[in-house]
Amino acid sequence: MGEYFASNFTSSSEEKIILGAKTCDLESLRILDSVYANGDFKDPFYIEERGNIILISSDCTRAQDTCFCSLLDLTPYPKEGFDLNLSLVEGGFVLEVGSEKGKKIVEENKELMEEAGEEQLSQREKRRQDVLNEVKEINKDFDSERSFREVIKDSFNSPVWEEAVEKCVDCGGCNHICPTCRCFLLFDEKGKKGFSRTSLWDACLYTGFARVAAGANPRIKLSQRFANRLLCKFGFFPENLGLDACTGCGRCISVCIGKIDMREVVRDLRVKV
Amino acid sequence: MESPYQPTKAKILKIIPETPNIKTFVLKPEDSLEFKAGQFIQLTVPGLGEAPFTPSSSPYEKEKIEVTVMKVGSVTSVLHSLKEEDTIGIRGPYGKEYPLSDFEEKETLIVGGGVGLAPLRSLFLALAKNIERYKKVLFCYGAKTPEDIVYKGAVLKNWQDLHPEKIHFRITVDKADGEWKGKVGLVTTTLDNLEEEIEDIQKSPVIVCGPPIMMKFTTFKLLDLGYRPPNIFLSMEKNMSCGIGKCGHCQTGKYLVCRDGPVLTYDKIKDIPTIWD
Ligand code: SF4
Ligand code: SF4
Ligand code: FES
Repeated sequence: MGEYFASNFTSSSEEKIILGAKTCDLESLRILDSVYANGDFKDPFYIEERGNIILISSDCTRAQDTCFCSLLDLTPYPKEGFDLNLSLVEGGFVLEVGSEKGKKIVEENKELMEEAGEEQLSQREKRRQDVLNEVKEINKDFDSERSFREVIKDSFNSPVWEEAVEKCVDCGGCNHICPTCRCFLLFDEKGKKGFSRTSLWDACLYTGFARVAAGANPRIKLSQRFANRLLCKFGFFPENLGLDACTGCGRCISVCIGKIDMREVVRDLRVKV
Repeated sequence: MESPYQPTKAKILKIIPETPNIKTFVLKPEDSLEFKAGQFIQLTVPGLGEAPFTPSSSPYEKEKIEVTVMKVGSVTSVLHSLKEEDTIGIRGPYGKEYPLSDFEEKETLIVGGGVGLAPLRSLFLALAKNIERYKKVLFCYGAKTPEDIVYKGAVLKNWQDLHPEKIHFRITVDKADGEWKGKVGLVTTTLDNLEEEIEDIQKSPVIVCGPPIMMKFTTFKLLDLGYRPPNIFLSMEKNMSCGIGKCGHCQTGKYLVCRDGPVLTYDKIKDIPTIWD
């Protein structure tokens, strides 16, 4: 039998810059932080990696049909969670400092910048409102007084899930592309000297995700697994953190080969639950 | 950097065959590993996988740790093929312990089915060690056939002789063989005439561990008998990978079974869909 020689979890102590992250990306980090960097056990690799990141976000300059941050009370321009934020205006960017780290970078590079004036700031505000209105316009058919959270909370047995999965092929794409999906599976990788422990992303849409060794599976039906994805985001996370684990990025809509749009599913749930 | 996912080594000191498909492994972890009754550990066979188990030995036993394993899946099959002196990986303990201090002065009921006896053994040994603190323990256990009774010598004799004034037993099998002189019937039948043993059902705790279907019908019967949901402790068997609240596999309703369990009271889980599946 093989033996372990090392852990294959690595984190580099190099600083990395993430440039151009949007509100939906920043928001997802709140979810990931709450999982990996909190609780009785913490993930030291994540924490180290995260600490070495300089986050330079930016305002969205336009919206796509799949964007729906406005439905979750988010705006297409970041309000917090960045080191620096860039807003495109005529002739350059308005740079906003969001952290000590960001402040340091600005101070060290003063010669590249000049004070933003009234004009730039009002232009930033106008562009921000324009894009926000664009997102709202895209989602006007999905807007409702009843939040996603409220609608999804007790919906597990709704017939809507069965209808929704008629086009689902169980590919797990929506899980894998989701910036808040945090589930993984530990596994051992074979090396020259033995095995090392590592992990890979997992997806709750997969049949075996919750199956136990003896064969019992609490989510044996695809509709149950599909429901679980949204129940996790709008049930489990709000109950544990008071936060939705969905940022309205719309990636699960663009990735889906069955053309399933979760906004439509929620709309159906509103009517039929 | 120290990885919370990395197992340490444990040597298999002894392997005790319990039933045709259940073995107990006596392990000596390289780094000492102390657990409290109710917590679980992960056993690893490098390159083949990992599985969660609640130890079956007494939490007061510091030198070694015993784990009783039924052959049900790939990891447990490999475990069953191991020999004494082999080395495996171990990490833990994880999860929450039983609130033993809440059981003091009370009549505690334990209901086990099949291999569900393994984690209950650890609890039982913890209770028995300080039996003066508890008013009474009633131990109900059911196995398929007499051959399937785990820890047979202990269940049928040694434990019964420990503190006969305070610890009582009701043992049953679904199907008898020629030798069997005891009761025949499903484990739920051991709960008939419970008032003969437990005076104050309203205030008493009950701990249940067994296959999902057994847990379901036992819980319903306990509720009928007057047990209160917050006093019904259920061992949840869920898919686990990390064991430390990160990987999401064990998510059940708003709980992570590895973090909030593995034992959860019925009031917490009763509204979770498919909880018995
Ligand atoms: S939706 Fe599924 S894959 Fe994503 S975090 Fe929740 S349980 Fe994990
Ligand atoms: S991406 Fe679409 S088809 Fe794939 S699992 Fe998700 S909902 Fe199903
Ligand atoms: S087993 Fe990983 S979160 Fe519970």
